[in-house]
Amino acid sequence: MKVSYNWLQTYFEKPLPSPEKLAELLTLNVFEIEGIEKVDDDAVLDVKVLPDRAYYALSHEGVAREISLLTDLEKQPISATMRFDKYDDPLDPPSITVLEPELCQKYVGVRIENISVGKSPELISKKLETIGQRSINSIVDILNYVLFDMGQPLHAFDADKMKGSITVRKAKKGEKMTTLDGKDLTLEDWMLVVADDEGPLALAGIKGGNKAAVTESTKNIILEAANFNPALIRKTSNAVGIKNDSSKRFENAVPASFTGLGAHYASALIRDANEQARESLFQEVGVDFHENLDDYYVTFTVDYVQEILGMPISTSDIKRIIEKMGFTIHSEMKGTFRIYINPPYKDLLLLPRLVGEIGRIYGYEKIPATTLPKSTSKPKVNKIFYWTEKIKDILIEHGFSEVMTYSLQSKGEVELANALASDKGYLRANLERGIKESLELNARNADLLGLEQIKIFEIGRVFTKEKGEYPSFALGIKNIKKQKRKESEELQETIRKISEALGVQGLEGKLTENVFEANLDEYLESLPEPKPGELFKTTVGHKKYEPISSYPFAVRDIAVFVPENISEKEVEKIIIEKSGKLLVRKKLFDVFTKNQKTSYAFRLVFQSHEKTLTEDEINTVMKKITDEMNGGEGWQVR
Amino acid sequence: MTDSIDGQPGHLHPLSSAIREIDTIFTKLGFTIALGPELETEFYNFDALNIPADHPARDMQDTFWLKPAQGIKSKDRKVLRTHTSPVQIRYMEAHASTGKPMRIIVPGKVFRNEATDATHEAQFHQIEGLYVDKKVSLAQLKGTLETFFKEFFGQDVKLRFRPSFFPFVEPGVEVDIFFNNKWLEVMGAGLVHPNVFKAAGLDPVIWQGFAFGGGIDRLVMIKHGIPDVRLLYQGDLRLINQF
Repeated sequence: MKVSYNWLQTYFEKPLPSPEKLAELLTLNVFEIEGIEKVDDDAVLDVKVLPDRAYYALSHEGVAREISLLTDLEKQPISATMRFDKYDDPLDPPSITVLEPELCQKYVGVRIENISVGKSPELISKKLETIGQRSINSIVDILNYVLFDMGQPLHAFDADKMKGSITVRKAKKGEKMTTLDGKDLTLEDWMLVVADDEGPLALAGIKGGNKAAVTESTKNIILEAANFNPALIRKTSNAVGIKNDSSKRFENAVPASFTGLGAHYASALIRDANEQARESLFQEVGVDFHENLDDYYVTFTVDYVQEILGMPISTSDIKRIIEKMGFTIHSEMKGTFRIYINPPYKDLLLLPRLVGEIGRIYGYEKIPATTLPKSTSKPKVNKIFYWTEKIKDILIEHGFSEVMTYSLQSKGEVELANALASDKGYLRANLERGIKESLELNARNADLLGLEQIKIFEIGRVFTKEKGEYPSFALGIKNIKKQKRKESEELQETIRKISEALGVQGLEGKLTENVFEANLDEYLESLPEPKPGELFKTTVGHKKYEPISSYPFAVRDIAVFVPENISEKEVEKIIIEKSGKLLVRKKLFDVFTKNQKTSYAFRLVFQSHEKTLTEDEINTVMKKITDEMNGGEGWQVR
Repeated sequence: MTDSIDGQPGHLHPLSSAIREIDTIFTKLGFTIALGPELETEFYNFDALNIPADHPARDMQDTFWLKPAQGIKSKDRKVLRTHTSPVQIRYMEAHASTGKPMRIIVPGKVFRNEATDATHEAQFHQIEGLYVDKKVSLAQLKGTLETFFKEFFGQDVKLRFRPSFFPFVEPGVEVDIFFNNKWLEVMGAGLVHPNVFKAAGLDPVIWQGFAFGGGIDRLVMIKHGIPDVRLLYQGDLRLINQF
């Protein structure tokens, strides 16, 4: 939510900390500020309000309240009262009936006559524009201003376009409505509408209809402030695909105590802007709103607060914070508080939440780091984890590297209802496909990797119709250079070695040309319980990743005859010196001695992080190496 | 420049290495590994964790749903788990009758239905922790996580809590570490919400607990300087064989 720094300042007589300081204070103690943007002489803070605070904090007043809790600054209340003038010819507001009091706890309407709709005063339009809201007209802008100022969504109807009385009722199945912005809706019978005698005027809490839209020619309006059921608003707004600032606040349960203030506040602003206007209030209060105030008392001990936070916060600090939150301390005796929570903040009736609030206002940075009590027994080792890791160790010992591939694929047996992309619509039914793709990828890079054989494995969950979810195990080999054994033979040999190492037979699966895959479920179950306290080694430490170049690599071989007493190291030294950082891998692949001369053959791999190397560039490097070698006494590049 | 390595041992995936390190650190603190399914029911992934249907908290995690089978009741609808937290519920349910304190960590793959980029992937790994006892405090949570991060990243790592919200804990905090000269958000944590205990069959009057969870991928990326989460899932030995 975008919040204007200057707008926040209007709540305080004393100056606020700088925008950056304020952002840090809020981030550390209540909600994250995701950005600060300069707009003219103002700063706009992007406040990330999470669902637990959204009921009160999606407004400037809500953010101002937090500032007052975290500083010594005193926040001014919003004061707005209707004038309730006496008229010789009283207004005749429509009658209002709420047929669904469970879904509409409160409905406050104000009939306002003799207004003119035009451009907003700059005071309001500028504030709205600063936080990214378009100015529409003097009435709509006031409603938006109140919403962003104190959090109550409002709506206005053109009173002269309405017929008869107002009813808040369920829609009829198939009932039609066109929204203010021209979207045609077909309603369901569980949705809630605000209707006149002819039909829906608005989809309650979400969007007004175009029937009674306020326009430049509007003279008389009905101002609506209401409280609608959060789950209903959420469900409806999802169903019709309309999400806006109104639905967002309703679905986060804006308190019913905001309704009246919102109505008064907006009508006072409208009256201020329209000298000739006259107003009249009408309302209906649903059954649920008559709450039992006794339910708002909560009792807790200082010990409990200290125990949960794990720090020695004093009775007087607790008292100070509760008073700052604006709650009344009903009694305080021998370390036991009984306090009255103001109705909007009923979430704080849950003790751990109340303690959390006390803690974060006091300062989470004051919480010490303490240890857990000593555990009485050696922790049990998870059997599935243990044997899975054992298998990994055996495979690594035999030269296999572990890969992890994607669970979401274009083919499978279990389908997603809401795939991210058409090629990720299914859960994998096997690991084989991922292993094969990985073999291909790595085979292309074999020279770069310095491998004559690609040997990989994956252990991961797969999903089939018949067996559901189970742990699968796949290993694959691709020979780059001709090996003594075929891939399938080596795979079989490896499986045998695993069974041997674990001492349990029965690892059976499907063997294709170069991939073996098995269901590990039963095999793991058949293995014994591991001993408590067994751990697995790692060798990685704090090693830093070396970036992979996105440019192609090139391979060159070089063989040189040197006098018999010259070691491989001396040949290498020249290669390294003359190729610079373009050489990414070298491998001695052949050595033989003949007539007091030794031949060393190296395979060199070149690659740049900045560009594709040209033939010329590589040849230049090779020439430098060749020239240097041929300059040596008795050296001859073959 | 690297020398070639035929005949050498293979390489463990850096995520597996991280899970082993995490396991080693927490085993010393008395924790044991618990595991759970990647395909979860709506009940375990959401409802039991105090995330009711038609509540804005559901939007905090973009979810992959399975094509519904005929005649499935709402609470048995299947999702790809969006976090490892359902295993908290499964473990507590299974061990409620023992009447003993619990210490578990849960490594595992999770899924989010969101566009992928260098820091977001539709699949990633999480580590979850749960401690249940008669008296549990935020200070113990801080101490436990501080021990973990110092062991994992180095002894000069600092840690701080910021207020946050996760429906299954109360109070909830965001855990930041100070590493390489900046504060990094690495975990969510808090004290177990009474509704979570109730859903798992434990009496919240008797039991308290703390829970934490975070992305292992992110820890691995921070530790080794890996710039793109997607590199971890390409089956690419140019990455894996570096570790």
